[in-house]
Amino acid sequence: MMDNIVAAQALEKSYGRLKALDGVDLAISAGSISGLIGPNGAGKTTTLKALLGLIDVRGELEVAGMDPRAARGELMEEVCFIADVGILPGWMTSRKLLDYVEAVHTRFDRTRAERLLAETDIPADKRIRALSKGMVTQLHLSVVMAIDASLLVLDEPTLGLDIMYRKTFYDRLLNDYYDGRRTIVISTHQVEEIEHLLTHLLFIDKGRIALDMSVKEVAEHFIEVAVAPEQRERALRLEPMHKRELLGQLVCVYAGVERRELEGLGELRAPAVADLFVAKLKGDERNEN
Amino acid sequence: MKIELRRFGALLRKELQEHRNLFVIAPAVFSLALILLGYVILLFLPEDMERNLIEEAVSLLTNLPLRAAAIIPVALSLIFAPALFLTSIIYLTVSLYQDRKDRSFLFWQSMPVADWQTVLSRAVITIFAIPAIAAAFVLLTLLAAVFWLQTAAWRYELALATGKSLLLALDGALLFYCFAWLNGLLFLPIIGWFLLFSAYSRRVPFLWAVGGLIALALLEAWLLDSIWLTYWLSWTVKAAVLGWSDIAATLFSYDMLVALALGAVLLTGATLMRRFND
Repeated sequence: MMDNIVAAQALEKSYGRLKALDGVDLAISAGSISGLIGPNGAGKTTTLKALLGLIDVRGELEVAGMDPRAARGELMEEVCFIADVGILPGWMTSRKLLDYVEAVHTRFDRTRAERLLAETDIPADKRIRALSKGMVTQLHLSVVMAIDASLLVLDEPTLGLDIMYRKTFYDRLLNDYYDGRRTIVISTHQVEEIEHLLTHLLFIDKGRIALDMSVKEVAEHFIEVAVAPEQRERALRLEPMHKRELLGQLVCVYAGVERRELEGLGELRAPAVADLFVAKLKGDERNEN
Repeated sequence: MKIELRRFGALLRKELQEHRNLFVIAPAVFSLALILLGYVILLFLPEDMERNLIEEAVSLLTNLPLRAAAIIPVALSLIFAPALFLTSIIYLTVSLYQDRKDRSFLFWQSMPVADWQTVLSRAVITIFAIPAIAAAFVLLTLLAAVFWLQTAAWRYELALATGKSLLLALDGALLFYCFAWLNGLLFLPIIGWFLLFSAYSRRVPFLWAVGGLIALALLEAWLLDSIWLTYWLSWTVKAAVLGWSDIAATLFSYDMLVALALGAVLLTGATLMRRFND
């Protein structure tokens, strides 16, 4: 059993009347790659900001053995984050940026950062504001990858980037950064691009965690069936969590139903994360009603 | 401890790099304007008046005892005080606001730097670094004045005590620096106040900070029937530093103690505001 690098219980945060977090419980294992997935306004960014000590929240919270609310500065020795693109200071050059990070971060390896940057087209003495969005993201990723942190938090890290940069970003993350020891938490709307990376899924909706499972558990617990036309009645009798029509074919998602019970209904497969997300949220909505 | 000092040094360097134009341009323009003004005035001054003026200046600098003559460059250097004040206020207004506006705040917050270190670095820049840059320009201006006086003295075959004059220029610049940081310390509550609103405001932090001061002054007048705050604010120079003995007297005064205590409270407020203003 792996230790948890993030442990949160009953996190609550309100903005006026709006409850952004409504009793969030989280446990993220060290060494995992977790995807925090939810619709707009679900509480993803608020959750990540709470983990990073950027906002005050109620409830119990421990990240890398520290309370982010009391020791954000200290915590940032262990934790890195990229929140959205284009947040690097535009007036700096990449060389000055490295100078700064080298001076303040004890775990920053400048040689590694320079080696990573040498693989890109980013000039050392050009101001960041003069770089393209993709270059800024590459620069930020190179800096982060040269920091020996235990937890990396990515909040929409590739938003607004073209497909080439998005693909490069995640390839570099997986090939040059992730070593099975570090933990990565990613929040993004472009779920399809990261689902092959993930080892853990966290669905959040209306400030609550709707699903908290490892990808392995998800594959065991949820089964999607492309139902054969003649098996339609039988498939519906088994009470799918969610059903939809796809090109005239019924597709059902089952939760906690034995595989052998579903065999013979049609093609069985693990649901894609996006489909599971829709199924789970629609299913929960139906149960609430 | 070593890493904390290195971090703090990096914060100060970063601020100096980011606001280099603001810190240098205002005193540079002021210095250049003064030098040009001096030359223009002398250019149009009738020759006999110019000679009298130079004779007077050379006589003062040569004959007055060193301590007494020191008042001349000190008085000249005080012309820089408004430029210094303006630069400081502009810097304080933007220092915790600009990075939230351009969102680089999130990058700075991703570094292992505590919020109190960030806020303290802004105060240190205001009290010690901005005046140091201004003092360098004061020295430059005074040296230009000595150079001009020396040239003029040669022209009128007068003997200027050049060494003494250069020493006085250095003395004037150093005293100006001491005057500036001592007043900066006495102004610590105002520094804390501006940083508080720089960390708080979503827009126009200057108006919030000034509006807040006006509101406090009105509240004081209404509730306590007094005008202490208005009176305190109206004295933009809290301590005159005309000689080295004034430094110790100001540093170990009751006013300084109160200013530091109140300033510490407001800097803590600015730290909390930066930390939790979401």
